[in-house]
Amino acid sequence: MSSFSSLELGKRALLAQRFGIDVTSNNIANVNTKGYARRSAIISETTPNLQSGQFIGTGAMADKLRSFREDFFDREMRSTLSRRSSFENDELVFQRIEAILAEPSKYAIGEDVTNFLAAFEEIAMKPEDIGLRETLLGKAQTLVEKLNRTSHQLTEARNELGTNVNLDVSKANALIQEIAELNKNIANSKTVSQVESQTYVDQRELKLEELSELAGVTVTFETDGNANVFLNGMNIVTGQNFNTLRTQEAINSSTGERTLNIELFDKAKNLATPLSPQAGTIASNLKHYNTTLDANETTGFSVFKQLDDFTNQLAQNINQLAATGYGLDDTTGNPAGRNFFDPVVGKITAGNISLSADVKNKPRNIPFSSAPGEPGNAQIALAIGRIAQDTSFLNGQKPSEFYASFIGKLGSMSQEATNGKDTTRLVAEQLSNQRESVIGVNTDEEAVNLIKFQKAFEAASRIINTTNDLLSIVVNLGR
Amino acid sequence: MRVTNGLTVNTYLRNLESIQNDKYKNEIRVATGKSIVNLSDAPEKLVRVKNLDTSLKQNENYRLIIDQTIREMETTEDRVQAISDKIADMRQLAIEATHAGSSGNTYTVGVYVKGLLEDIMKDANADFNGKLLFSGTKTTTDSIEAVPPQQNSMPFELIKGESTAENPSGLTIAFKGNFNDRLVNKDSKTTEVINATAENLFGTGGTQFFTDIIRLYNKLTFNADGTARDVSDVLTKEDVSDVSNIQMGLATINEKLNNMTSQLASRRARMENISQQMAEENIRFKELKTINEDTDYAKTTIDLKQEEMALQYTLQVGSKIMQMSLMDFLR
Repeated sequence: MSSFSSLELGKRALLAQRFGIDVTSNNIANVNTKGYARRSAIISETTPNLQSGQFIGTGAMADKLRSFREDFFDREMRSTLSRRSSFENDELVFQRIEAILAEPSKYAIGEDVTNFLAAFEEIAMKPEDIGLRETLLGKAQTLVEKLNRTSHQLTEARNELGTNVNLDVSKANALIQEIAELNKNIANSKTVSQVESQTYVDQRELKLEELSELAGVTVTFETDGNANVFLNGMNIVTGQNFNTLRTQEAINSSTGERTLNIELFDKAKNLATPLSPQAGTIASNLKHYNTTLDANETTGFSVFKQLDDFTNQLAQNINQLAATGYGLDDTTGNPAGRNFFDPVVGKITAGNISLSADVKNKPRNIPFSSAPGEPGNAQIALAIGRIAQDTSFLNGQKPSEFYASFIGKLGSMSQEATNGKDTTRLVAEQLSNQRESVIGVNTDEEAVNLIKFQKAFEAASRIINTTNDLLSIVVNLGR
Repeated sequence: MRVTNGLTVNTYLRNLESIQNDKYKNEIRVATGKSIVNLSDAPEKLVRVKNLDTSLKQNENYRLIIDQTIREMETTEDRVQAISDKIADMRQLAIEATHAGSSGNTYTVGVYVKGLLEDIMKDANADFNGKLLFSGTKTTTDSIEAVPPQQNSMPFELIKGESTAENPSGLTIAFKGNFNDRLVNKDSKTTEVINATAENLFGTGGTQFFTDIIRLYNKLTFNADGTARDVSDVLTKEDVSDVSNIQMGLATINEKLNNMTSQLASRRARMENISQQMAEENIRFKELKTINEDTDYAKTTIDLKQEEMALQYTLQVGSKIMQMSLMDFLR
């Protein structure tokens, strides 16, 4: 062992401890960095020398950087985040619908319908009274305006969901591209140093989690460090190559139903494959766009369709009775066949319902009487009022029962979303805590490490100083 | 378990959010008095509340209808009673006229009978709040057509026509309404007739009863040959017999009117009874509604107080959570 070997040993020790200080400093610097997994410096003993028949140590060196990232936690987190974001989005959508329907409150449509039908029974006491007729028309107009406004707001909400899907798809495409880029960076880093750059791995995991929140993706890792990303079993990212997502709206020519779909688009092959994300905000928004807020929905529970069916049934029942009635000035002949609500042709929806021109601003025309020239006859008004008690109004229920069960169903779905959100949030929190407990930075711990490496650095300096002193003595021996 | 800086901060923030959410909800509960803030809070309770609310509103509406109908029926009863009283007066006058044969004031009684007839006409044309009471479903003057010699649009009209041997005064009564019932829904299942028809009150054609009165008037004011009686004229034996018969007929009519008054009173009592039932029902509905819907103030206030305390302490902890670390002691 030469005299300079101690100097070399000291130098290696200095470098190793500085490596430790750098790693610790990086941990401290990234204490609040989202997605950052703490690292630790692995310092190992260098190869020993055989001296005097003994293996003598040659010091230490910075061997490698260890990341505390755990695949298990990451995989579970991605899966939980997908479900949580679905439920969170579901809850937001239902809260929006609740607000549009003004539920629960006394200003909701159900209350207006009850009041409107009750007004017909009330007017039967004095059907010839123009003031009461005007009041009834006022109530009808209020109901019509509320239905129109609700329909408009539900349409707006649906359009917003469509926009959100497009925005989310754009975000997902950006993330897909970034993940592919990070795959490339990781592969390059491995080529340069045989190990993956943890910085890129952390960044990629963050992007994968963001993508999982948008669409429930699954991820596999190659031995070269590349991450492959799948949606519905279809490959979105393969190493450094990637496909993009795009939205496609289909219109059913017979029902007019508009359906928004997601496709995987392979630029190279110019091939589009339909996808059905099962979790994430895209899946949630698609579900509500294509079902909950689709007025032409035929299979699932659609708030819009329920409201339209309710409106149509109410208006058609009233029109049917009104057509057989007589107004105050109808003194002879057959009934004038007046409608109370328009449109006469096709389905009357919450969006298109309006007061018929036959009765709008014409209170005398409202057909309350079952016979001509009988202003005190309110048979038609009574029959219309009785719609409120009609147990076969819709789905074997009275109007108020149908509306209450419709709101109840909406409430149950909203509750399901809230419960799902709470549960997945709890699971996500637990997972996040467990993962944070492993990969998170503890400043106290880092402070201890800092002291540890600082003291070791100081000690290594002493080795060099002492060796220098010894060498000085040796050099000066001949003087 | 390793407690890291992120873990401490994230847990703190999540707890803070949770406490603030709970506190916010309870604040709304206290402010609004309702336990259901969102649909998702208790959908099954909400459905129950909505159904109860509908029943309550419908009952209230039916009670309003019944109350107003009862007022109308009371007016109808008053009018029928007034007519009945006048008929009783007429009967008394008819009896007096038969005695008047000796006192010689038959003509005066006859004039008085005509006056009563005109008064009865006013009662028969009475209205409630602008709605004619005894003309069936022709409740407005607009709906009543006057065909000459009729001159007005009231349901009952006293017409002076040509004198005939049978009707020397030429007086007739025209009824221009109809005999239809007017109905209201008095509860969720049944209807009630709220009017008294002219036919039920005044006999066939709604005028039979008036014909008898006119006959009485004719007997008292006209001689058998159709000439007007003198003030001093007395009734013949035949006239007395006829007047007695007419008086008996009036008694039958009065009985009919009294029956109608009883019927109206009975309907009114039935409706009052239903209204009372509904009022009691509503008390129970309101109680049920309140159980399902209203805030339990004692519990919510205690919860709110707990959350306020929790928030206060959480915020205090939050201000210290990251204060000290080993870094603070390194020189």
